[in-house]
Amino acid sequence: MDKNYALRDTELSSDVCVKCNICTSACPVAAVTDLFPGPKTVGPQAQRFRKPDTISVDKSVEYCSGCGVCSLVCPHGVQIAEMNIIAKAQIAKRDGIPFRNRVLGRSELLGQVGSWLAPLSNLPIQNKFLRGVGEALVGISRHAPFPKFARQSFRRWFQKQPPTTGVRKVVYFHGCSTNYYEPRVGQAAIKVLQLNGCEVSLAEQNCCGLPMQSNGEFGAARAKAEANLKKLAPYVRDGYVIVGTSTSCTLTFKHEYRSVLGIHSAEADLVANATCDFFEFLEMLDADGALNTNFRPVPQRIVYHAPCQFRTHAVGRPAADILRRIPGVILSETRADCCGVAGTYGLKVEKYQIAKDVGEKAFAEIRHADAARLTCDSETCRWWLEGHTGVRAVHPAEILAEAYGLTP
Amino acid sequence: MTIQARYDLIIVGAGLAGLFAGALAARRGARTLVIARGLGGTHIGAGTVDVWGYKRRQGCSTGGPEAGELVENPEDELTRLEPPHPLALAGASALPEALAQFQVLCEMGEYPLMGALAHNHILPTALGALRPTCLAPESFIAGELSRAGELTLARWPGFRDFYADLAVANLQAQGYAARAVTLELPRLPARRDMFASDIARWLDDAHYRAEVAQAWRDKLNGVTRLGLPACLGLERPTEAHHDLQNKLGVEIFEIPILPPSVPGMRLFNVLRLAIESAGGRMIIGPGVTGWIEDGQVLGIIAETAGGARRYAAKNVIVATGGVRHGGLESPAKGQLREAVFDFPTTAPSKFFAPLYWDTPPYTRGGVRVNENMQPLTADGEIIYANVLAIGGLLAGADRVGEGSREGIDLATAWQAVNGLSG
Repeated sequence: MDKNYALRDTELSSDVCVKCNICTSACPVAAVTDLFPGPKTVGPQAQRFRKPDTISVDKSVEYCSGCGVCSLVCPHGVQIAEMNIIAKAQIAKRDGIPFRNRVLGRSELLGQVGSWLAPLSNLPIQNKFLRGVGEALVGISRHAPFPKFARQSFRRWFQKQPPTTGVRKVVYFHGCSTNYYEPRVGQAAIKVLQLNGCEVSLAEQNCCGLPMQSNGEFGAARAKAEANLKKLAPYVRDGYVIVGTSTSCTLTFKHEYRSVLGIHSAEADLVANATCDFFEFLEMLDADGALNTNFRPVPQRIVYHAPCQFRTHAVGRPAADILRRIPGVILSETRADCCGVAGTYGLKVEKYQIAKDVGEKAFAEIRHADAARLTCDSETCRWWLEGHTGVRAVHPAEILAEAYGLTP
Repeated sequence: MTIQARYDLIIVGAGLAGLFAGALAARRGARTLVIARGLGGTHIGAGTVDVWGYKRRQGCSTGGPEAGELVENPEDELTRLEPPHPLALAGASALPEALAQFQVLCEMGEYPLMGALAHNHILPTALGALRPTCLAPESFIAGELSRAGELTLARWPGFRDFYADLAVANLQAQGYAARAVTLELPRLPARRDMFASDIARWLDDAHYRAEVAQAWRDKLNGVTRLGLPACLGLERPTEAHHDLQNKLGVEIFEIPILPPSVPGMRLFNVLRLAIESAGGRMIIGPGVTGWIEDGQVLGIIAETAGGARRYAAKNVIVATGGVRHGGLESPAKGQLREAVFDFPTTAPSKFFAPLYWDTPPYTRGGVRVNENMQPLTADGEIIYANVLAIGGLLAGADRVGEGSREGIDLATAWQAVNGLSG
């Protein structure tokens, strides 16, 4: 298989751009800064000056956060965001990747070391002086909210659980965040799936590779991707559905491996088409009449934010639709397209203010909602939004687990 | 492939027709999904409601500004229409009722549209041409050319998408009193080209408007009405318009310019809010095809990131637009193919007119429907009882040449949704 086929395919989609500027009008980054010329300018327009193996003519593409809104709103199917990620990686290849970006790309390694050293490893994250040093030396904004490392990983918890059986076979992908920072999300997810008649397995797995891809390390990201595909494809062949609670990881399986990293193999297609984000899967159960709706009341005002990466799944807002059916829940939804952080973008000192400005719309909506909790399918968005609004953020699976009366 | 979700009504397409149908249905309590491959015509249109703008001159093969005269009273012209024109099929009451309901929705979104079916506004375009339109935002109205009084158009140095002098010269050539004035827009020039949407977001901010007023106040001596590119606020346009008028003490009117169309985005926001606050859903992104089994339409199939997903629906409305919008494709010379259900289309034997400015015959091609907006075979048979087609997809109209685009969108959407409720 020609390894560059998808890259060329993504890049050639610039040919159908009619320059209508709909993407420009929707871009959350261009809306707050004139450092970024907008998706059309750095994407399909600049693409005319690039060849498959040459670099971008314009470094301003580095201000693209990769939220993907442009590709969704394009009425002609131009893969604008994907084109921009590839252009960014070409610049990184030429100019080298800063140490900071290599660190941010290695969420798995950070998690392994951090949770091994926890709670000691949480000190530098909360220490203002050390964060200041980190900003000066490495370039990670000292203001950016970070999660705490968990002392016991999700996998270790899972190994202690008794095996269960069910009519639907699910293989759960936890991702780095659930394993090392928020095992409670995975615990809630497993229990909710089991209660809904699923037999849940935990495959061997590694980081999906998205943080590396976003930071320009395509080679390393591809290695992560190939390893995951090898581990997950046999499950799909055995009739399992891959379900994940980290919406950027599941999106990476569905979309990034093929459209950005250019992995076009039978395994990539198999895994992409068998992957469901958590509430996407529950919505399917519901359409089949198989969703358990014996909810206990959760009398609470909750605000839901649909993360940009969840939008790219293009399946609507199933988490909001399901949570709204829990008695007592008063659910409002934000309309902001992006919270700003876009994975690791907002953590970088030179991007922090832009990311915060992008997020202002979501922050205001969340504050205005006057809710007890905020819920969102993406971990980086939860951490960022909780940090900036002070509203406690949880995964919607945790609220559902409560409604089923399940305790962690 | 399992079913992803179930809806009462799925609307394919997020242009004016699809959004309006979605808002109407959701507000009537139907579980409604609007799904579209990208955003639609709102973002590239003028943000007005054109109903019937041009009268065909005797002996002229086409309508349009080149060939026809401006229509002052669209109501008169509409009574002469006959099927298969979509406005005739939708029936005489559909258009006025649809316009009234659309005005209600815009009012709820704090973005009033002014006008009535018996009278077209005549407004200046960005080139200084005359454009007849039925409903226009309040912020356009002071540009009315049937009104006496000189027009002053703003030059914004550093902004590429509007040339006041060109518009002024053309208006003068047509006998209108007009002049241009240079008004520096604070923050321009910026580090990149700024688009209408950028300026509109700045002008949403009262502090920025105060800066603008400060910079312009002394330059508006003797100005009675000031024309600006349509960038006067995106989220709170009415507030921005009133506030700037008050601060400057002159009447201000907006002139629609190149895409992204800020007035169109405002209409999109109004309709999106109407859909979502009534419990409707929108999915923007995936391509869509019909889900047909044993000759029955069960819903649609969406190409999501993770592959094809089936969405079940009792009824489907196709509002994907015409040739320029992807609803109709032309796979080979002389053919028009409807993209979602492969409905039969009327395609003219000759697609193009000999002269550039003539209306190309292909624009009249499209899907034939009955008065319920149900697509028909060549023999006039209903194809699927639960699938309707509306808007630019329909055969029998020359939307550009007639100046009837939004009128068709709203009236056919209204007719389709009413039929479902009945």
